[in-house]
Amino acid sequence: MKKIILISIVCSFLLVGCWDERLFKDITIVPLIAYDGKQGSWTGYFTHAVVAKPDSISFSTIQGSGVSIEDTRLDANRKTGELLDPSQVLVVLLTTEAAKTNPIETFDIAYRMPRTRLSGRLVVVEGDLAQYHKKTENMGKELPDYYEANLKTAELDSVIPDINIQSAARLLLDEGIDLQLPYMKMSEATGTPGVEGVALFSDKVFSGHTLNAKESTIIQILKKKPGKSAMFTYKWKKEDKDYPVTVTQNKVKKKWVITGNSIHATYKMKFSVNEFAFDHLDKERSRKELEDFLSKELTKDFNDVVKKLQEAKSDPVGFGRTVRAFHPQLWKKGKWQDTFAELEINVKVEAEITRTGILN
Amino acid sequence: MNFNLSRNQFFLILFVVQSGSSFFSFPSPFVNAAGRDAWLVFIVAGALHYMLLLFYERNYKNFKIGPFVGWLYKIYWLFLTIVYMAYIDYTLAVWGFPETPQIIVIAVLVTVSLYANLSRAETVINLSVMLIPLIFVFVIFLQFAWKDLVWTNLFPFGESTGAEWAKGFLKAQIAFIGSELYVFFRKHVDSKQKIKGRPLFFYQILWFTFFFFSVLIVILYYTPRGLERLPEPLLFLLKAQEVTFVERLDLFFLYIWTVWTIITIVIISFAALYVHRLHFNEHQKRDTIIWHIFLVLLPLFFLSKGFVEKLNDVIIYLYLVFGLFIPLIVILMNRRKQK
Repeated sequence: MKKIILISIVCSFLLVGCWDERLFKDITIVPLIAYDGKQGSWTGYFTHAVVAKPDSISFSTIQGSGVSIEDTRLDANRKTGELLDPSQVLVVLLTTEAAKTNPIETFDIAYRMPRTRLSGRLVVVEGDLAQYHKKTENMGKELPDYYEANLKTAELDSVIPDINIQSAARLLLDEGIDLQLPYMKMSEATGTPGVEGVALFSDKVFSGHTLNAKESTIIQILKKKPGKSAMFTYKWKKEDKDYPVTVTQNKVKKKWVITGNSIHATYKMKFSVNEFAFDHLDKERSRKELEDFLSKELTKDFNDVVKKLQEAKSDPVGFGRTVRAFHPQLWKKGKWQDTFAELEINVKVEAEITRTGILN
Repeated sequence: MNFNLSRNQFFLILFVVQSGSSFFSFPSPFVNAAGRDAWLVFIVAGALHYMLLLFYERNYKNFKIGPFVGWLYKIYWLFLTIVYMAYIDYTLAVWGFPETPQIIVIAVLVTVSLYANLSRAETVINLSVMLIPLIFVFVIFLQFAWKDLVWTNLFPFGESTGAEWAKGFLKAQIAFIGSELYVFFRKHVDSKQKIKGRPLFFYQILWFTFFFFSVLIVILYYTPRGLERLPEPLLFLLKAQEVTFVERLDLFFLYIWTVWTIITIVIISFAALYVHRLHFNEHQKRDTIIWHIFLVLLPLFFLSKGFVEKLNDVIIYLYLVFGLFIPLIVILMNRRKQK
């Protein structure tokens, strides 16, 4: 008896799952998707793999329309010989109009269906979507790989945050912080899409405001979540000559003092110098002069960025999280985005040169 | 039925049954009910759990049941295993096997319990050991979410209302379910091994740390509004982690959870058949098979979202009756009889 049961257990384990197998011959992987439209009227562009001959994969884009993003896939399905499978998606492009809908509602299917890969990235793009699906020679890669590599590089350079479909949802559901998504634009010079900066969200929808690469890098530092490297370049005037100075941020310490209706944020940043043709950094005086210069420039830039955030009523830094936790009176004043826009926020950057490279 | 347990086997059985099915399902209803102070509520609930264990330890010798109470416990455990079976099968269908006939999945799970319960008692007792490395793996992989945790989510504290504290205490009972096995199996522990004092406190710390960790990580990872949408937040958290060696980490842990649940069902079935044999010692094999036929057939009636939710709510109240009220009555009555 026991032997029969044991054999049945072993055999039945082999059976389970047979019903749920998905064969690659029946489906086609969609690594790149783009959406345009608004609530109730969507157009989806699905870039899927086409295996014309063994060892050769190319990508083709097919369009579908419908009342939801899933409906666009079903529509596009009817135009292909295989089932479009977005579960392995790497990048999802959204037009600025599409980004003005609440992504939690728009992408409900992505969060609800267990097969969706939540590590895919959401990107806001400017202009017509069709141009973002053209592969050019300058890309040097297949379209989905090009976008993924481009975004990864921008993330390493601290231009964009490390945000995927899952973390976007966490930020959208957090009242104390706003979402920022990578923002891409077509380059007029090369005809290829490139990362421009970040698109700012305010209370779950795209605010219409974007930041350039430098401003976006400042956001990542304000958040204290820069990528592998964060670099700043300024022109340093000395003896009627401009010397470009490029520094890499090594360490950052932040301190926020929140009193009444104001926030005083101090960032102590340590830098290493990458480029400084004026030299003489072995001298204390020169270093001090450069540190003062960087502190002044960075303080100005940081404050300008904060003002832009307030204009956009967007708090991607997460001041609201600290306010919610420790300053309930300020938090309860009203919707955080409105309160944030009215606050008096001063940022002070204290720069310190700790490394000068292998030259003085 | 005669069997002996070492102290470690006893605590391991208890731990597996208490954490088995509820571990993934516990944080969401608990934190949603208790509000932002959920972590404080669980500290107090943890203290109550220790008091319950101390009560069991002090009085287990007086817990002697007749056939009627025995039948009540058998029905309770049958209900409990049906709920666990329906829940794991529903979860497997939603997360991993939407097309596989649910009866096949249930039959496979139940066959393991049938095999174990037809074997010697040692098979059931030692089955839990295989979970020890899996539990460590599970805790280690949860650390991947470390960089995404938001420590300010713990504050401000003191915001939960009295009603939220009360609801939180009630939902915290999910983590207590299974503790009633203490009064049944305690007398089988090797009398040379001490339970009272430090060993019992150590078990309490282990239980508390495990569940408190799950509560804490869920509070730090999710916002209250995000958590409202997720019935299995830990599984979702694992789904969101990107690793190089497996496409879906959540499925890997869903299988671990399934094994965890199967072993819980094996132990609860063992407890039910043990109580049955206290009063009806004939036809052991036949009764074991009948019990497992029930386990295959009855969950099939409760495989929808609505039933799973309702049944998970009901077991909390049943636990209060069978984990607290009946042991209290039985112990008090036996103590009075002795006097």
